[in-house]
Amino acid sequence: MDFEQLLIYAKGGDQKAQEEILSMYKPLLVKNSMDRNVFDEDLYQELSATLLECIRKFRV
Amino acid sequence: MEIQKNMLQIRFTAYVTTAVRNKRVNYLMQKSRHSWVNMEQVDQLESLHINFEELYHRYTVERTAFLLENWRHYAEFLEMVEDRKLARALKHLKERDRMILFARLFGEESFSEIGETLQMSSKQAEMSYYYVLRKLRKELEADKNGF
Repeated sequence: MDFEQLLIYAKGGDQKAQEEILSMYKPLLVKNSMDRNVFDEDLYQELSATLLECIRKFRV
Repeated sequence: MEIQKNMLQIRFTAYVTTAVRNKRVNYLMQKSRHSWVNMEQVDQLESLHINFEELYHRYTVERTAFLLENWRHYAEFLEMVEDRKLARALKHLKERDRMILFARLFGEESFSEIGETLQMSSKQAEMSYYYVLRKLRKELEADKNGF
């Protein structure tokens, strides 16, 4: 499945598609969750939510 | 069609990157306001012996292997470049030039294949590719000398 298709499914609420995208962008989220060499779990949760919101709002 | 599909993911990645950065900045500002550090939590974390650095590193390694196979996700790969000079130099490139670079390096595509994808002659693709390399070298050297 190409990315466009994956994104469309994810926007439709398909949980597997959302998880797939989340795992694709996990390094980005993890890297941005580092607060001075310490992993901030709460920040990671917020950024995961941000990603899901991006999926929802992005116009294909 | 191929380029369009790449552009979609590139657009999405840019969108996500911006949103994530903004969220992170706001979060960290909030966090520093509550500057009393919860020492208990830190101690608990340490006692769990979870080495997040190592976990992240291992994940990076696995993800890199995946990305090398699927070079079209190179936008994500760009985010993982830790050398800031290199990352900055790569971001200064035009999108088309980045695509040529990654197609050649990761996809190991021939110049005629690249030319076909981007609707240019193979010679043009070849010239663009070496131009990009020169440009990167120049920018990286310039940084080193402090200019």
